[in-house]
Amino acid sequence: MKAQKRKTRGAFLMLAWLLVAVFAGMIAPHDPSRRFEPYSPPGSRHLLGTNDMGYDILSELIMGTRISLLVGLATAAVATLVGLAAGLAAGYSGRFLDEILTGLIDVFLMIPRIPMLILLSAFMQPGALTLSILLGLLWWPPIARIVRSATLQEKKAAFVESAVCLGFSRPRILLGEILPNIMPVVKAKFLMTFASAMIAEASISFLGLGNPLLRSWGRMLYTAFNKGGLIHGMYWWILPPGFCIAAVVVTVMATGMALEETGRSPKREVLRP
Amino acid sequence: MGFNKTRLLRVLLALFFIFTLNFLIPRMMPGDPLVFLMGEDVVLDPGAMDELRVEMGLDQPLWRQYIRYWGRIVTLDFGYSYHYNQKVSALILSRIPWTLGLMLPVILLGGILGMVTGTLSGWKGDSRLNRGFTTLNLVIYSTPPYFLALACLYVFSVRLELFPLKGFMDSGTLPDILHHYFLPVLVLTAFFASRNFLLMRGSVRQEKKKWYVLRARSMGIHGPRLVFGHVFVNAALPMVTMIALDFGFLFSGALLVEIVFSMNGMGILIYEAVLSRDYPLLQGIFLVITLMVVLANLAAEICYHRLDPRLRIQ
Amino acid sequence: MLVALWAGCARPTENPLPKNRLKIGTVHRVKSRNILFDKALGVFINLSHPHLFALDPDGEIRGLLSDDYRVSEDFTRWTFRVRDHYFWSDGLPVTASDVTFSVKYVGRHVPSRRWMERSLVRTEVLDPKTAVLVFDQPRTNMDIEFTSFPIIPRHVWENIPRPRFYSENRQFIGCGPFIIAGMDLNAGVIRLRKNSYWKGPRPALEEVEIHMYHNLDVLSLALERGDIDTCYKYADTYPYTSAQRLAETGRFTIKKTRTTGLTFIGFNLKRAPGNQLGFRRAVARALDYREIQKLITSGYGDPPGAGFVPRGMPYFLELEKPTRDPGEAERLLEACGYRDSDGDGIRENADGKPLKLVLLSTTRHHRMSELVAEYLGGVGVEVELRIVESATWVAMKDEYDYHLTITRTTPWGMRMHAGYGTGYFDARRTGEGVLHTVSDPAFLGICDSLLAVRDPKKKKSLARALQQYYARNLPAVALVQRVIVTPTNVRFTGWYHDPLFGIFNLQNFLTVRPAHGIQ
Repeated sequence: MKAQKRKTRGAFLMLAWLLVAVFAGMIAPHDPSRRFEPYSPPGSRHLLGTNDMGYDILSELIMGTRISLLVGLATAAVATLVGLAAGLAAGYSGRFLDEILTGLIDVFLMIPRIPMLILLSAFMQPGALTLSILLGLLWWPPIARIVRSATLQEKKAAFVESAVCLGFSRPRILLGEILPNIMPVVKAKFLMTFASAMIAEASISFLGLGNPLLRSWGRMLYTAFNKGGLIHGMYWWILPPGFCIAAVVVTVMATGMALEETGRSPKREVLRP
Repeated sequence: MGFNKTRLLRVLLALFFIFTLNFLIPRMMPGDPLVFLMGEDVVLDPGAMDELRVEMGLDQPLWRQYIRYWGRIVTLDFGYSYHYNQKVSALILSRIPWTLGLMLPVILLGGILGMVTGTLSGWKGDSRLNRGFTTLNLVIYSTPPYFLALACLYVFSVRLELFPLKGFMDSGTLPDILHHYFLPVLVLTAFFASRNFLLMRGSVRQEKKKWYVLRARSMGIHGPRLVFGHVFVNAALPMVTMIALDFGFLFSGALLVEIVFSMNGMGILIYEAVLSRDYPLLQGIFLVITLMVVLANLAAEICYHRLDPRLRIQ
Repeated sequence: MLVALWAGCARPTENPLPKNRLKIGTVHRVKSRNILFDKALGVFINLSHPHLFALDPDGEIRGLLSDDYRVSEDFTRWTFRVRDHYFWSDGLPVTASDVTFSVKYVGRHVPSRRWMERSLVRTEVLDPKTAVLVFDQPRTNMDIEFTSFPIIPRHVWENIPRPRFYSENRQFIGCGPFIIAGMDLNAGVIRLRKNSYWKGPRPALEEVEIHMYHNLDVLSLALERGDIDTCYKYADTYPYTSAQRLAETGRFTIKKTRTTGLTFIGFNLKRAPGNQLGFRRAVARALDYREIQKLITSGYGDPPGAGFVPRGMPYFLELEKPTRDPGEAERLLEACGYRDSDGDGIRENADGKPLKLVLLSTTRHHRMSELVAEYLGGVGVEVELRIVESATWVAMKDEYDYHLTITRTTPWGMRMHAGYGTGYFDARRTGEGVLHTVSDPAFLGICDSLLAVRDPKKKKSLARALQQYYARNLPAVALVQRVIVTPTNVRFTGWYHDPLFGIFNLQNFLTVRPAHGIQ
């Protein structure tokens, strides 16, 4: 099947990116904190030249994989965990808990994300982990919503009824019966959140708001523009980070979309809201 | 209508919660809001700072400020911005039309374009053209929007000199304004359209498999009537919430593009309010956004209920 | 879409710009139509509201609106004479009562000037052109104060009880050669036209436009393209790398003005190791000043002097320039008791605690902080960078939440308080950029003496004593003296730069003219 092939291909590519991130230290030709002659154009020693301080751009790009991917993954993890917990609880429990949780989801959905992110980034200057948590706290509601409606659907299925009759405990039913069946949707949403988080982090860094010590691709773009990259036409500095962001996001999203198609109960609103 | 009282209550509670959050967050941030109002050198004149504090209402204990805050919300008095030296409401009102001028065409055009092309793509088979176009949309959607914006600015405004470099306008005539809006609208529309395309495509592909399509075909309905009369409407359902939220978050969506194109709209207002610790302005803006989102959500629910007959029966 | 494209094509048929309209680009954005409360506008009105005095390129006070002043023996009574040829743009002459009114009014309403109003005992108008201000205590710096104090027309402002929220066009009435004719915040342009009542030297320019950009890159592109003729930033420079590129095109003149602005490292003198002179000396020796100059300012800055005070300030004392000597730095650290006992490359103090310091700074000094951290790391001091945005920095430095901090002085700031940067260190003061770390009676004594001194010879010896104090005690280490780089399009010539306001001073706009004659 076409979608299946795309899914495998996507997973393969993502694995490749992850490998780059993990082994970045070894792949990078130079230590990104080591200074050479600044503003050098691409050459044999520096394939992408050097930046304003003389750091090797290629090395910075490779090391940046770590940060950008880490933030994306950690955010998706936080958002999915919280979203799953809330969604499952809301979907499976009684009216009261459901109402409270849905109310909570509504509240969080109404918070304007980008302004909030600007506010928090500007004042807190968060590191990678803190940023991921913050982003995760802003991105969990859509996941919770989907998990909830999926849970509500599955709740009515026959095998769940039989599990209840058999006297299985609630956690057992939730985790053993319902969860596996909604996994495809969850996985797809995980990937979409991953993509959104990367773009959000890149946007904030680009505005110069995040922690300057967090050398993500977005931050590289900010530095490139601020230190004369555009004026001097240093395309080797400006374009690669942008391309990398786009490349990873495309991979992740394509995989997510393929997942969505091969998943069993395709749901609405899977794409990044 | 389909609304029950608990739903309404929940929305109101949510609003209350958000408004309280809106009040607390700026005040919890580090840094004294008066810092940027005083200037480089302040001879220890506590008097001046205290006077300003009193005038801004910052000398009161937190709970009293909170009560005042609510009083103001009810009377729609957002107070004064001490950085823009005018009433917050006037300031916001003056900026809104410009950002609306940017975002409304974007959402509408992006919506229509994306949904129509997405439907066609989802309906037709996996031709080369189809896959290529899908990939193009995927790439556009994956590129950080400001990157796209900067690229456009550079290529069209700087290199080709076809478009102006900044601002909403130069001379204020309608063609001039359109000229300035062209690139930002283009970039954002591409972005929204690509997203809508992908969503719609996925949705249509799901709908294609459903029973009613086969049944309609057997009844002799096919071609554009089938696609746009039946499939489209069903596939569009999930989009309703999405597009409604687009309206709700109108202002934040414009932010990055406004910065790139130096447009003095709501987006930049938010950005500057945050950086200069302009509490009253921040609160005013957040309030406006929240209200818009709530309204948008409500509108989405109404549309949803109208469009989906299955829900009406519930 | 088609309409927009058509509109775009319509551009080339516009009238070609008159050759004597000057367009200035800036990243300062005017937020409100208020000349007294808007920071950016407050600088732009230099053209329409001349100050009483200005600074000439040597840093000496020169009369502008006022041509003469006298001060009493005890520095409480200041007398100013207003020049004859100044007229407001509605025809009325500028009088002494405008001056006294301004001091009282602006002092009353603008928070940062409040102290002046409080200190004022009374004002007198001896004749239509002579104003007297009497203060409650000796005020030796009033001449400097009045190089940036707005003088406004009484007949316009006396009936406005709440100036902060006043936005009418009447406020633009000024007595300078140019006045604000229109402000379009949506297009980001401020237009100035000639004041028909200006009786001074006739400016060659017909109009001046200020174009406000949100980001510097676009401004740079506009400059290169010729949309604007120059770039202005208060107390700050045009990016060095971009300036180089403009110079290469041959269409721009790059003017370098030395400023009294410095970037420096401030020590937290309240706790270790900042409170140890040996440590501070070690830091001064560990830095590579030449490399700093090369990397941070692309070679445009000047290396700092040892006496903290930069060249260009009156009574500058030439002391031995600091040089890099890591060996000496290490010796000094050892002498302070910091030894690397466990061989991990980081020194520990006598108790075995590793020397890990927090270097606090703002995003503006990001790269400088990285360099400094690298240099200190090279001599065994581990530095943790904490880079925050301005407001947070202000909060943290006020709470002494750092070991080292990197910040900068502005030309105005160097003259604050007793001058010579004392405003930044005197523990009795505060302000946005003030570190207030020094409470040493010796230092405070010099400050107070400088504030009270009148005799220039005495002032000179005090200034020298102060610089020697800086060099000996190192409350701060200067990193680089900043040079302001201003690119100007060769279309215009006759530029005049002022130490305080760069090209945005009144004199400049009287001398700037098109390079090839008036069209």
